[in-house]
Amino acid sequence: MKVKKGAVRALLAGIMMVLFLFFFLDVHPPFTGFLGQNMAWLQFFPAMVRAISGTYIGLIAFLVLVLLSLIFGRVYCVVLCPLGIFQDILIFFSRCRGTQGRKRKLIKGTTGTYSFLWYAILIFTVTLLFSGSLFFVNIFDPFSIFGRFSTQLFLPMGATLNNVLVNFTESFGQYVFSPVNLRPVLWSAFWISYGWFVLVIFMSFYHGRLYCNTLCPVGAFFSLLSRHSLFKFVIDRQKCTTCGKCQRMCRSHCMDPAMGKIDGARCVSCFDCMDVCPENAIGYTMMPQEVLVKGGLYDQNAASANPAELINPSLSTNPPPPAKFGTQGNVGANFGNRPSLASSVFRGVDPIKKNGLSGAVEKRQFLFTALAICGGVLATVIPLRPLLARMARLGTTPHDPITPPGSLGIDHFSHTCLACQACVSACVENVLLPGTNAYGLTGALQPHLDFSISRCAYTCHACTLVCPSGAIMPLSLKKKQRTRIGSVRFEKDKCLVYTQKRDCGACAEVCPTHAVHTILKNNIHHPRLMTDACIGCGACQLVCPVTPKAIYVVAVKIHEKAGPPFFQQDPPAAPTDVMESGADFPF
Amino acid sequence: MEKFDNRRAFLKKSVTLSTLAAGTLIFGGIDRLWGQSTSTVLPDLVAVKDGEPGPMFDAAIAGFGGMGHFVKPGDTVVIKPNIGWNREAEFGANTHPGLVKRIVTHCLDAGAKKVYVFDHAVDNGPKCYKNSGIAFAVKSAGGTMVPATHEKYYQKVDISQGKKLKSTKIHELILASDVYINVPVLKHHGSSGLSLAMKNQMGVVWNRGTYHFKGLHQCIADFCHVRKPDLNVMDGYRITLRNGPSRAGKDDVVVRKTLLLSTDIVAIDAAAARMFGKDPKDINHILYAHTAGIGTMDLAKLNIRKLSLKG
Repeated sequence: MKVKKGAVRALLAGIMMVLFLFFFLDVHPPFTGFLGQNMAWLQFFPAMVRAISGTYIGLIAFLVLVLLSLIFGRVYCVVLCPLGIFQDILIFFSRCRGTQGRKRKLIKGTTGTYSFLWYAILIFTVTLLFSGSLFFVNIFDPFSIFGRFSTQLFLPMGATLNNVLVNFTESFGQYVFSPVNLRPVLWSAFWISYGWFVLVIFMSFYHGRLYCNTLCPVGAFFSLLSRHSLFKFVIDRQKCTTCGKCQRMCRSHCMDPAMGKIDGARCVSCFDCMDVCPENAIGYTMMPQEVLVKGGLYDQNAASANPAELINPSLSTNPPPPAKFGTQGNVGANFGNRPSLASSVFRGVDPIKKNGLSGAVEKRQFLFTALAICGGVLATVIPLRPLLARMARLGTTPHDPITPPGSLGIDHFSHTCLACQACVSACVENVLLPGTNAYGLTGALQPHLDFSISRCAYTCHACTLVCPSGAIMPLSLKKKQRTRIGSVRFEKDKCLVYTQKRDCGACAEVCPTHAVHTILKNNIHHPRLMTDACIGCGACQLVCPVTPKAIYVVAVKIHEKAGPPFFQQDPPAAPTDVMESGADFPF
Repeated sequence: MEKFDNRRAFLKKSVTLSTLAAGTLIFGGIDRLWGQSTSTVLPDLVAVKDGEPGPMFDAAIAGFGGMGHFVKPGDTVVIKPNIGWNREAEFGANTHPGLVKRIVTHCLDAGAKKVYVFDHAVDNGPKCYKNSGIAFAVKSAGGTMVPATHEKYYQKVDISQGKKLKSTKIHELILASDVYINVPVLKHHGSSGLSLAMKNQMGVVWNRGTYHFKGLHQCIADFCHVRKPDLNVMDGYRITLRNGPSRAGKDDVVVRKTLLLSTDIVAIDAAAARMFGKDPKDINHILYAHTAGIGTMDLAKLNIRKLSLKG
């Protein structure tokens, strides 16, 4: 029995999807932590950001991914990318409905690409990334986008369903399940995620992998490598009957059976064309020998013959069946038609002129373009870096945002956080929340702690274990409990105890290190600070009953080690009149 | 208008009276009312020492002739221990799980239909339930842990007699259950001096912040007007001496193996304050509740039964 390669691919992708959902929905925290620590091995931007921030693991992982696509093409996009798999699921439904797949109209050549936009986004992303701003990465990274879908859309949906279930069971007087408090929604961040959700669904449902081949910088990067990958899809024009089935099925719209060509840049290696081809005319092979021997990228005969076909009106006929092409007897040499890089980067070029170029010239042109782009990027990066650094705080609140423990400080966090929001999902206390522009131009949508909603629980370090990009370094609970992310401020003249001369003590009650504690004077418990012990968890700010708060936490720019908890340093004297063990009751 | 008022008042009164009359017939009958007054005088407060939490509770509740005095067959019972902190039992921040377990068992043995246990924790609710050991203890005894971290469980009540706390939202089970048992732990508290039975009741309200804002002690006392617990059990097995309510280390907790039991929430707090070496008058909420007539802190006037399980 013939094993469908597309089914194998879909199975692998399905397994990955389950893992991604496990990860982003924080189904099982220890496993989420394990996945988070190893996610950089599988994901492009996490690996790249880790590499840039100076971790060898990131560099190695990045090179592994590059090597993978140099050998096998854009398999990343189809097996490893969560947003890609998400789109494939939608494409599956789209095919079931008949919007895509067998009934799709056949067209002449391939659909137009938006290469200019595609590569412009890539260039902008990379330029900004090296200039110290993750703005474009945060917005366009498919991994982060899927993370935001999960955290901001899927998770609340799940929580709501859970709460409906809770209400249902409790209507019978049974307390079986616990209701979940929905995370407070920051609407600006929500609408960005939701807008992207609609965009991706629309694009994939009606146009296959259009998103990946128009907006995605990861796709754009891998397309540069997949053009020249070792293994690639080729149409055997001797076997091909130009029935067009592969073109209808292709999710990337990169098949051109009439010309016997496959656009290697857009092809995501989904193997569907191989499965659907009734003649077994499509192969996934190493670069054919003929091409190497001839030393040319394009077969001149085919190239000169093809333009004529291109303008053949019969090609634009609708199914079934399209006219048969490729019968000119150009044997063998066509086997390995390779679309060349420079030509497809600038696809607006007249096909005749394009095909007229010799391989060597194209290669030189590509090299020249690549060098020019790299030079351009470098030339922009150097002046852009200080400029961005100066503008980093543009449009943000006067107070610095508070970053999670393990993030080392605002700078490290905002320069490495991909805004995938895995940490937000892991935060059971709902204190770590998605933001929009808390970090100015350094990054978009990166999360921060909001002490008006909740506080960072002393006995929790969940967020530090899940970060895929190394923005939040893993911290043991012991270390986390001594990591100062903010420092406490106390304004006596607002405090109830001082203004109204009566007990309140809310802050001291909840302070996990007793950086704020009470001392008894005139039978009133007066709050007192011991800032060395403060770790900036925000518990005091959360519970302080006055507005504006009499006690609050301000971010520290670089996280530091806090002193030992105050109750360990200098415990107050124990009361002496407490009833002794076994003594008579004092009443 | 006046006529209407009269009619309404009449209707109200007749409904109340008929319910009362029916109630006496349904719940145990009239003979029980007589029976109580003729039997030996019940203690106002039972103080037990030198035993494990379970046996101490057995001895204390025997002073009332067993749990059947409070729990009638078919009743629903809600138990409110202190499960406010994500700390293990040995740090004395939460009520001893063994005590809670024994109370659940007694209630079920007395024929309770359902025994619910909850606390609106300060730390993460589910984690507190688990790490305090109370969730396991309650479930193994056949009780039900009820979530309390969601606002939907809380219903608004008006407190007309309250001086500062005029209304608040309290957990539905406190209103709906037949029997309410308050099981605090005796510990030092950084903002109210001591955390005792009345303070423990802050764990049944949704917004504790208003307490702190309006006046902690007065609100704690005011809340007792809503529903006085049918029974208070003070866990004095471990006593937090300092760094309370939650951050006590090993040196800050002493084992005293005591237990108090009373129907009077003010008396039990006064007794506990004495055990801690404090004058009940110095703990403002005890004083306020005493003045408001919720109970008495005058221990000398009470019928106190003291027991020792040693030897």
